[in-house]
Amino acid sequence: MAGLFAVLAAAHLLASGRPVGAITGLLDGVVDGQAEKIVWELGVPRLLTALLTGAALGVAGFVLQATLRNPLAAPEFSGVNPGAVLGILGGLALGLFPADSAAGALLAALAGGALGGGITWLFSAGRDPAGLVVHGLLGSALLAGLTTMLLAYQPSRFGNALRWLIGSVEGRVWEHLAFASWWIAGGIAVAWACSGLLAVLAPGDDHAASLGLRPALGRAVALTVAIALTAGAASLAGAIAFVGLVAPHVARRLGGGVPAAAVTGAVALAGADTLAQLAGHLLNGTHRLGVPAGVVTALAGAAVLIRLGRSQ
Amino acid sequence: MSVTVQDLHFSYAGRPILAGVDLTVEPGEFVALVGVNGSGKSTLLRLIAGLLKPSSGRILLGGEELSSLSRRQVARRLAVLHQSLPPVPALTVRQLVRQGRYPHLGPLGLLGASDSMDEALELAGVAHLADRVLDTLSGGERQRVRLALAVAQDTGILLLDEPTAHLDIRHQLEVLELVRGLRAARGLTVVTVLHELDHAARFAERVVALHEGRVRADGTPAEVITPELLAEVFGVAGRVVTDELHGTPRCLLDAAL
Repeated sequence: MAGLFAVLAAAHLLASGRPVGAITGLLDGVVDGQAEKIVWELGVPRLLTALLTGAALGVAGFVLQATLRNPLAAPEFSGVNPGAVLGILGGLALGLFPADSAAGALLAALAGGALGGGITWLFSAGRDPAGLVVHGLLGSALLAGLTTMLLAYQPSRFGNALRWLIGSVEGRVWEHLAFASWWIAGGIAVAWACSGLLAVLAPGDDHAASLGLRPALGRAVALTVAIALTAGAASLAGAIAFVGLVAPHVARRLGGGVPAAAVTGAVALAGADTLAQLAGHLLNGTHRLGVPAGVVTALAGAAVLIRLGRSQ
Repeated sequence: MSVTVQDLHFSYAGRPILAGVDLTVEPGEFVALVGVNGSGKSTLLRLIAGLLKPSSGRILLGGEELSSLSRRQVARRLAVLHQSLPPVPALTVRQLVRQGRYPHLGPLGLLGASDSMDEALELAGVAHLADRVLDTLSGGERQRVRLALAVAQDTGILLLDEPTAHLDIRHQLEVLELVRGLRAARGLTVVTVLHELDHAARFAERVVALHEGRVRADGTPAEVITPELLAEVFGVAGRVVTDELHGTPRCLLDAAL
């Protein structure tokens, strides 16, 4: 496991195209040369952003799929992720927080994510939770529409809106991580502590109630955790798609729960961003216009999902 | 642990389902609830399990008012085998049976729990299936695993809602024999809804026939299962003979009335 992470980390840092010496230099604790500084200031935070965001999405998806009893439940299909993105862009448009404020983005993402989750909840109130996904798709479409309206209304204000819409871990620095990393780590810890609750909830409300868990209470706790994690992920990297959908499937195949979902999500997004960086070199030859990791997750995620669907 | 039901009424969407049911099940008794579809037997079971709220009347578990107990306290007193368990992808037998510890340990305690789990797997005869994925098991195996879950829950009362539905005849017998064995091993009070009257007569000490939301007959199988009951409750003309080997009544069904 540690070896896998080491290899992945090395690949991710190397894929940036920066000199090997600067990367190995960091291992000796040397951060004085210009090249080392760039790796430390840009490369390492980017890697950590990918790992943290992926872990958060993997766990959020795992929680949603267990709670809503639908293998297609995911942050991006439940209104939560689109809501978080709308929250961030809306907050920026209204000038509620500066573009580089990590805490501002997180709070806006939380508010938007809760709104998105709330809309889905209202659509599906009193219905079977398994059907929630259909309403989640409706809610997601509505929120994405609002986001598009916002962008169309004031395109000039969103120079880098694409990074939120498609999802990218590029350009995140230590200041962004300082806050979000604790938030995401805390969310994953709470989700892990709720493993038993999720397990009992998954086979149905009657089952949960017969084992002593009030289903409505259990669902409320689980959905709150999922929203918190999704908002944390969105505040760092915007609308990264498919990681939250696919990682839980892979984690379950590996026989694992929350920890496996976190690891799978982290590996998936760091791997996707490694590919995104490589693709960036191929397409441009320069690093000025990077390929967002969200593009890779969307393409790779769709392929993995088709495969999983066929083998089931 | 005893189960007492007093003057229980329950309506759904304005329609009365139960209209004054009285029933006392002594500790360690094996009671079968029989009746046609819609007679209220599953509803009665769900009310005893605390999954539905009665319109009026009382339910006592071991002398304690059900309505005064928390969900978890109820789950420590009674286990329920519902008609079906919705599929959960990749869920293994061990993972499911471990959930039986939830009412005792809570969500945090479940992370490492394995205490009385192995024993439950052994007792239900599914220890060899422990690492299998639940969805790959046969119907009979699944029911045995679900009984292991109930055993792991370590309750005094076991409620079953048609535990033999959709099973081959061999597995039907296997499941009922296992229920009988578990009851003997753990001193369980068993209340089960059964469709098959012959099964009720063979395995239960006491048969309660529900008809239009009321108890129509209550007693030993020989007292309850009669040609009159077949006609009035089930709408079937039939004869009841005595099984020479087991001494229990057997129904020979002749025609629909």
